[in-house]
Amino acid sequence: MSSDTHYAYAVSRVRAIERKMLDKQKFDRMIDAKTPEEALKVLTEAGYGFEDSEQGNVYDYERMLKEENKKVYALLQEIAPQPEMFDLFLILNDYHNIKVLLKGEFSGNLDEGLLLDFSLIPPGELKIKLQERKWDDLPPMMKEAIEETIETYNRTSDPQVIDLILDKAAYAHMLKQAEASKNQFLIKLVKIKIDLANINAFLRVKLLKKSWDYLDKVLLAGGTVDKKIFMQNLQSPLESFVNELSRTPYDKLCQEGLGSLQSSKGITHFEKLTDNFVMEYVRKARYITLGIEPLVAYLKAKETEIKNARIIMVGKINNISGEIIRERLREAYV
Amino acid sequence: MAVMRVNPTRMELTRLKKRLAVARRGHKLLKDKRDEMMKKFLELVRSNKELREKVEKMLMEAHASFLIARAVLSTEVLEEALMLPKESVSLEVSTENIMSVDVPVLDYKTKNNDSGDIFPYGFISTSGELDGAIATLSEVLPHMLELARKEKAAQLLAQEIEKTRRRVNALEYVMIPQLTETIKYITMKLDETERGNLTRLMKVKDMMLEQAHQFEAKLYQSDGA
Repeated sequence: MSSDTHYAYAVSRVRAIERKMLDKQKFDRMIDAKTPEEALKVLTEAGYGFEDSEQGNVYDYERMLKEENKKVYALLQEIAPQPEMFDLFLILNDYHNIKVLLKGEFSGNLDEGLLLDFSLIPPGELKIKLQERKWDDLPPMMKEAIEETIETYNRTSDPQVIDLILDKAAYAHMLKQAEASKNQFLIKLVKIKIDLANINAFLRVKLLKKSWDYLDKVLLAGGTVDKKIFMQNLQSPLESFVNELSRTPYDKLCQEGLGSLQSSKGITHFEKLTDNFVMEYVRKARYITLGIEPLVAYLKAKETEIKNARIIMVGKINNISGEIIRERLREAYV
Repeated sequence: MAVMRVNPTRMELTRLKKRLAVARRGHKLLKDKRDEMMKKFLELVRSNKELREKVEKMLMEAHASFLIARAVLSTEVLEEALMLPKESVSLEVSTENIMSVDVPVLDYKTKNNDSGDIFPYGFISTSGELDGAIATLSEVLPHMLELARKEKAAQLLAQEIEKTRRRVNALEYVMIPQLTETIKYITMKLDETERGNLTRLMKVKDMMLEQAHQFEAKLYQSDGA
């Protein structure tokens, strides 16, 4: 990219704040904290919290984490020379909002607290559009997905189709957006996410012993692993599935995952491995000096950090042993 | 024991005797009923306890996996996933008679027959931990209904036992002694009158004999004269 030099400011700023992120020692301190308050303190020290220096209650952690997530997007959009590049990561939130709104409409009780307000289309606007069925100015992919969802739901009244159709559309939309950016790093990142989501869904479908056409409905399109591989291996033992994937980048992941699935850890550990896989991919961005990559890496790292913080806080509040919390903690970026 | 306020007549006596016979029979029957109910109740309580422990254990498991799912997913995503239920359950309540107690029988039907088809969310945005929690919850439902049925049955049975016991005691310690007492009183009273009558009759007879003698004596006197 010729515009890489535009990123000089943004990248150096991100590099600077990266240092403030929670590392392994800080997470350890949180886990070993005696009370949830102490754990929260570590978070506040790391710059979490509300803007007006409001001292958060322990049970506010959820709001605090959401706030932090918002802050990250706001910062990136402020410093990035091409803020629209980050729209890619907001798409999932938009589809989440659509799901909430549609489900609220179908069930007749909408909880607006579930809407995420850092999205491409402000949730209030989206709500009115959906209520009045005036969605012609939405992106065409989104519009089609909404229409298909409403049509299918009215036919089957199966709430699962809402998630199935919209998840598919969300990832397709993301991929399209990534391709439009022509940035190989982003395209590959989305593809990895699709593949991992597919592998994960495959394992869950397999554990639940569902049928092929069900799997077919769940799988996302556009990944690097062919749909056929999943379909063919649904009924065969897991080992053959892992063998099929041995020539893909997911070889190691699947080997390890297989081990943990066969031991008692179940799918939990596997999900952690997938998150770590993304982290590892993103970490390559450290060696890129200029470009959007370090920014994306920061975003992903921050997301992981927030996820970790949530796991610890939930664990602390509910008195879960440190070991169980550690088992689920994702690898930190720094 | 107090005696009932009744007229000490022969009619009343027969009536009371009949009542006593009925009371005795009722007492015996109720006692048998109570014993049988006790037996049933103890059985029920025992199986109830087992079931409750099982249900509680399963619920704890479900809660634990829910907690973890909640830790990994954000609140919004988790609640969105569970906003619209997929499975619906219809419950039919009928009654069954155990020892004259109407205990409820719960019969439930799920809309879907496929037990793997209970997940109302997609598999892309949610975590596998949630599957476990939902599956455990759906597994625990029939047990919970069974538990509800048993607990209600035990409750109703306990009430009925209480009532029966009170009846048995009332019969044994109040009604039956009272009746026997009254019967005794009437018999005694009747015997008393009987004896009074007898004496009176004997007296009258004596007096009549006396009169008859004197009459004869007068008759002779007048004959001789």
